[in-house]
Amino acid sequence: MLNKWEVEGLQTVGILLVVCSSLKLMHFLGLIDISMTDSVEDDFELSTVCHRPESMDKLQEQTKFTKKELQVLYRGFKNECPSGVVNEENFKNIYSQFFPQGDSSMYAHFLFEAFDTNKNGSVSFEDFVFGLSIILRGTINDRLNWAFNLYDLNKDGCITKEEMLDIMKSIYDMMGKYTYPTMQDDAPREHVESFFQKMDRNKDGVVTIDEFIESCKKDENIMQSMQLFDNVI
Amino acid sequence: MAAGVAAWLPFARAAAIGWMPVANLPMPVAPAEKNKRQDELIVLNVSGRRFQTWRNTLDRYPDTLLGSSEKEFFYNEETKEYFFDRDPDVFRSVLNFYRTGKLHYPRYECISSYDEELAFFGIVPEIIGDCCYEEYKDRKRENAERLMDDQEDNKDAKLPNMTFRETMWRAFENPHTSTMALVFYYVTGFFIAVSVITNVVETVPCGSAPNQKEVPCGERYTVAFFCMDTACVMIFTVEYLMRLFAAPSRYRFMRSVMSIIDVVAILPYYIGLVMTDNEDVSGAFVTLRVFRVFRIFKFSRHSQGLRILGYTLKSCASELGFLLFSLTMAIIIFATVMFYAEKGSSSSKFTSIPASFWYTIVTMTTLGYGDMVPKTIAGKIFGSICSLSGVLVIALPVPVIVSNFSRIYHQNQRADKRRAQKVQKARLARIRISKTGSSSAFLHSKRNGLFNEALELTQLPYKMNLSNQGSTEDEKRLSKSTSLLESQHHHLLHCLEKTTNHEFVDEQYYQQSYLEGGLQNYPSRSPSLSSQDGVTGTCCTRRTKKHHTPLPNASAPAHMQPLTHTHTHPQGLQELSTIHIQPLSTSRSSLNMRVDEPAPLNCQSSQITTAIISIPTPPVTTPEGDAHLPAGPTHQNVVKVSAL
Repeated sequence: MLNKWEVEGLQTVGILLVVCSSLKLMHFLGLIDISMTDSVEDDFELSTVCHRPESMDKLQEQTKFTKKELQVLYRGFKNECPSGVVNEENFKNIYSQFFPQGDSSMYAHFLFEAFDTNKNGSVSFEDFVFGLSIILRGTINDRLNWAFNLYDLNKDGCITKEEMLDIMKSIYDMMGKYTYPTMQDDAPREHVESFFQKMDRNKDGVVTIDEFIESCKKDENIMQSMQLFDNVI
Repeated sequence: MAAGVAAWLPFARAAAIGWMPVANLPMPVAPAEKNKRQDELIVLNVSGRRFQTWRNTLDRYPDTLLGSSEKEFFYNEETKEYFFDRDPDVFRSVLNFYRTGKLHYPRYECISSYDEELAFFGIVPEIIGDCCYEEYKDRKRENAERLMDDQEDNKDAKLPNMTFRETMWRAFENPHTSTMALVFYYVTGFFIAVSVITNVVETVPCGSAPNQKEVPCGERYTVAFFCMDTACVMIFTVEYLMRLFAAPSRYRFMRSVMSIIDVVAILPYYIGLVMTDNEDVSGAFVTLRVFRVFRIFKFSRHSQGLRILGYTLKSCASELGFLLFSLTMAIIIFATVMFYAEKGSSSSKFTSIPASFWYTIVTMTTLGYGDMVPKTIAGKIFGSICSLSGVLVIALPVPVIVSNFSRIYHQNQRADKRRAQKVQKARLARIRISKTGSSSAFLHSKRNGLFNEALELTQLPYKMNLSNQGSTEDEKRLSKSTSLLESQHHHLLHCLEKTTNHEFVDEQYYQQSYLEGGLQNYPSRSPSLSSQDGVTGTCCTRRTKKHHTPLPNASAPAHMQPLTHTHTHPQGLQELSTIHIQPLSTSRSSLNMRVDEPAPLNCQSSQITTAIISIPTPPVTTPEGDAHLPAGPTHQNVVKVSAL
């Protein structure tokens, strides 16, 4: 048998409940507004940024592409990124379509870092075309410089073994699981070792830009493969 | 390769600069762009409406009509345009597919005409984007059902040579087929009604002798009612036996719902006959009479609506289950709360929680009998909350059930859910296949490339011996069969292989080599197979395992003859016992090209023969010496080609 206090207590609880639920109901109906935190809904209307590249004449001066080539490049670029800029997500998506068997996201990330010269998190058409111009129309030195820039993740002027290992792993990841011969786990590391053997002249554990360019110029295979890029566009 | 990003291929190839300094092996040669032409506009005239687009746009999907050389069949020399005598409205969607990579299905379009256009232009409907795919599938299903309905209606025409049994069964199932059937249908309906009314009237108190309490009619006119009951049951029994006799599958008939209802309806009578005058079980017997009411369910054979209702309830089982579950939860919660709220008041009817259940149910369904009412303030507050929430909880699943009923009613009981599941699985499987097609395309053309290069090597000293000069041209055509885009993409993947010094293989092959854990050397195979003349039938293969020998079903076009000579090649550089590698049908041009082959090939879509190239070369130490051999020095003697 409940005594008076318990009855009172229960009634209080009941009334509290009713009050709270009616407040919630009014908030839900929009009559009042109880928000404890800032609503994050505004963030989702992210800027539908539309970036327009500079005029074609300027681009033609700054890069080594002809007008027609720029046109073709821009059409392809705009088709995939109507807003005029590529963000990293998009970039990875596009790149992964070329490598269906493996995981190309890490390598795409490094590429993105290399293309995004002003570090604003997006690649505009100018960045895109400048990068391509160096790779496809630049001199051997330019190309090697660009490759070095790609490898040097922290942009300190030298490639350490850890950086190289990251790059190598990302390349091997693109192959995927089904390879012949079966991919061993230490394959990237071994490859990095042989790379440093070749490139690191003074055996100090890092490869500087000069060592890199020098060693590459001495290697016939690399020189030959650099010629491949002349005919890409 | 997803052709939507074909325009980014130059970028992907440029990005390969990151692999170059790292690679230890030389890179393969890039495919040369013969007759490199500037991107040009082409005009597509579809029934008078002119569409213009870049040639590159169409080249993105080489396995469709517009992307392959098949469109050359439609080229009009005088007007320098491609003319298609098709629907221009649907063509808009088709062309937009090339432009944006997404295929949309316009809602106003008829589904079958859309399908026809897609089939004409060689586009698989599974590519339809997610935004329009549901609509497309729904329309397609409706259409299929409509067609099926039309077919079923035609089945009513009487077929000749039906046995008596079959006729009877048809008469039972479709009463409209003959007059006898109609008569039978109405007679049984009448007797069901009579039986049900009898059961009802039996219990009405009708008139009483003075000084006696009212008796129900059943006890007053026992004999009459008994006679009517007997007559009805006899009719039902006869009907049941006749159906049992006529049923094509008696076992299935006996298991069906309607027959069980029939049995349950007539069994109490017989049990009653057997067990009269036995006092002990007469109580049970009375209970059994309840089952006589099931006779009313026999009406469902006569009424389409009843059947639909039953089917609706069955198909809304999940919604009903949810309703039940949420109600139960709410009932328990509120009953508990009410019990404790009312505990304090005196002479409260809420003696226990189960006792409160009754109050909660009555309140939530807004019945409100009033036999139990809360007296305390807290009880009243909770009671009102209870009734409000009851309305909500019940009102939610009901529209779902209603809409289901209406849908089913309109579609007249089709089992579409079952079909939808099967199709979904098939669709996913097909999308998966087309995705893996891109990776297998590379593997395949790699082998093609290997084969071509090998063939060129061996062809050189033996050019004089070739009787058929057309063979070399065939080779060139073979190598050109993949589009420029594809060859560039494959070159890119090849470079990656060189960089990492590993090869792409397909899943099957990987499993196998993983299991074996090693390479096996294969002795040179006798080229006996290559000496087979003529067509050995179709080139369609089954998926065969690797290590296998020459397939007996490979056709041997004329240009394979020279292979026999390689066997005696002194250097034994390569010995080829392969017969024929056919490119995947992803390149339609190859299919068209084959039309003029001496040995007509009648395979349609991707069939590949296995090929084994055994290369009994001495282990080569320097890569330079083997520059022609794409197989790197790490490979031993066998390059196994898998059937993809």
